[in-house]
Amino acid sequence: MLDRLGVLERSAFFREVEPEHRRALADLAREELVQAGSHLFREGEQASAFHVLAAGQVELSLPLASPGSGDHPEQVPAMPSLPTGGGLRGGITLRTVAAPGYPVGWSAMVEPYRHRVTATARTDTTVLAWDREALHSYARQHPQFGLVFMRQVLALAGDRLRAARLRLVASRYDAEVVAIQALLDQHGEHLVVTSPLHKIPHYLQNRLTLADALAVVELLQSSDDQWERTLADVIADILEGVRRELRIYQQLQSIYELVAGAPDDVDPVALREESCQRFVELFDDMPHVISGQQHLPERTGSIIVMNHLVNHVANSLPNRFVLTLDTHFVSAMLLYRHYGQAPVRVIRAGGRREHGHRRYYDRLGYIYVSSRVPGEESARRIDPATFQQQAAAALAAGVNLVICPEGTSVPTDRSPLPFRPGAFRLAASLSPEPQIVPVAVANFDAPLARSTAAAVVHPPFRVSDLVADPDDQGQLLSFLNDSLHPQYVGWVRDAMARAEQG
Amino acid sequence: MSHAGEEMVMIDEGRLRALPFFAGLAEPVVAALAAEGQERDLAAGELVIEQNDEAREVFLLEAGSVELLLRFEGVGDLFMGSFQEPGSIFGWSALRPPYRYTDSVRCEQPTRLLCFSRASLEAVMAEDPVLGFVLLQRVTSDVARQLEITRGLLGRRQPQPLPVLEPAETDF
Repeated sequence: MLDRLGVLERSAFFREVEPEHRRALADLAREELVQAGSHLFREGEQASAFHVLAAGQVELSLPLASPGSGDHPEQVPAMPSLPTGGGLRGGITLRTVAAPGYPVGWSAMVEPYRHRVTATARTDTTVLAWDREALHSYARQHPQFGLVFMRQVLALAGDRLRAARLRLVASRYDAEVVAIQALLDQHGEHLVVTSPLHKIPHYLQNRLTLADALAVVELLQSSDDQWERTLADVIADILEGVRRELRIYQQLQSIYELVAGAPDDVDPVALREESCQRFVELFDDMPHVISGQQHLPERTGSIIVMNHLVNHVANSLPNRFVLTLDTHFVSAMLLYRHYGQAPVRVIRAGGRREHGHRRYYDRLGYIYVSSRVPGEESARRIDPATFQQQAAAALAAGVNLVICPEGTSVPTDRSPLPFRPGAFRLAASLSPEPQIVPVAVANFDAPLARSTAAAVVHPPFRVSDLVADPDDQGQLLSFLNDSLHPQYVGWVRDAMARAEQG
Repeated sequence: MSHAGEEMVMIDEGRLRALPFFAGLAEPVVAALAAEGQERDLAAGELVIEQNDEAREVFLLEAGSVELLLRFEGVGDLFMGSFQEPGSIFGWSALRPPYRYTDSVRCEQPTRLLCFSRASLEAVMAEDPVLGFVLLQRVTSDVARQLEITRGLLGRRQPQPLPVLEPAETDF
């Protein structure tokens, strides 16, 4: 027979609960048997009871997102199980609970009383269950107990939240963790049990102990033990990507802070140049290919058009703000380096809730155009006359303008999308007519530290040289999408090939 | 965090009522909590709480937005997300041992916070543990909501295939 009181007495969760209440709770509980492979509860179900593991094992998992089920704008297609988790079929393992006395279903204690995860018995399992109403009623009758109990639930939820946040940061490094674990499994027989190398995968799970992982590896690279030394060398290689990604991440954050946090009286021109300089330092360390600079016009005051790539998650700051790396690369590594002048970009107006976007771009004196932001019903309107005036003034002042004429971003293998006519119409409307300088970019949608990015400049042209009547919308669109676009597709493939060759 | 020199402003209870956290609480309770709370206006970029500091206050966001930062040894502060919804709660480490903030919070823009000291909340809860249960339950509910969002990001996060974010479009 199950010793319910014994389960509660050995439970860390109930340690602060007075013995009289533990006894009462042991009497109030009912036992539930769950067969191996069966669900104790599923995500989304009403949480009608508070559960504590008594015997066996329960896996808590997050089912994969199904189309339309997400409530987050960041929703992306479903993913396979994270490699570090055990991984129930079709879900992500959050945690396996094997310690008797550990709560496995506390959603019954907080609104909206709905389970947030799925609990599945890994072995034949017994849980203690308290009906929500009965537990709430007991807490009302014994308010001091209620306070202690609820504080424990808060602590539990808080611990889970912290773990989830740490795992979110760590998830981008899972590939390294898996690789190192596999390496250690493979060569484990040669390593002494006490070797600090065994700790590396655990250190890597948590960003807080990343420095420890790197320090251990460094130390053991000069170990007296040959196997330790050899494996530490291999692991150091594996971790190089982690080091570089972290360095990039820090640099991106520091550039964002430089711009968004600049004092109000800083001149946008100076800020653009400082930002470009910082990006040069960042990109200089990254594998990249630049070619075709001989096609850059002698003087500034051109419109540089480029295909636009989405950001890889490893290159993005995990708030809603995205530092678009391809445009910063072209601005800094190509134009700023060549001319010693930071260009002005034509960018979409930030959404109403995109505070990071506005904090950053407002400071740089960029030129906004109207935009549609996902999740916002109405478009952000910018008066076309204002745009025309600002763009014309910048070009007349000899400033290069960088424009992405697709109007949005896609992965390299789908790039470019058809072009919108705004940039070309602008050029054709001005006198003297500025040159259009096409730049094809590739691989900025891959992790920057682990792939080679490329930017290739192609010969400049004037719209009026290629379109008989640029004011004729039909003629202009025909040129863009029947002539320039197919050519550009080839240019992007060429950029990919050059990146591959390094 | 020290806020020397800042002007502390008492909270009008009507403003508390506008926040979901206080919905359904009896009028005297809201009045008592309003008397314990203080309003604080902060500028963009200003740090509200710092990771590992003693957790002495709980905060409710009334206006503006704040960003959440996790500090990692040898790496620095990493963005973990933002709070924008009025009524969002942070600093709840002040309600549980070991009473240390587990992350830093910084204003993304000019921000107005409603601040409740740990000492005053503990006093309110000690005097009326039934109310304390409800308050802790509501804080936990908000923590659970944040947990759900974080797990959602974790579950939907992947290096491939792209895109990770739906790109916005220019109308140009």
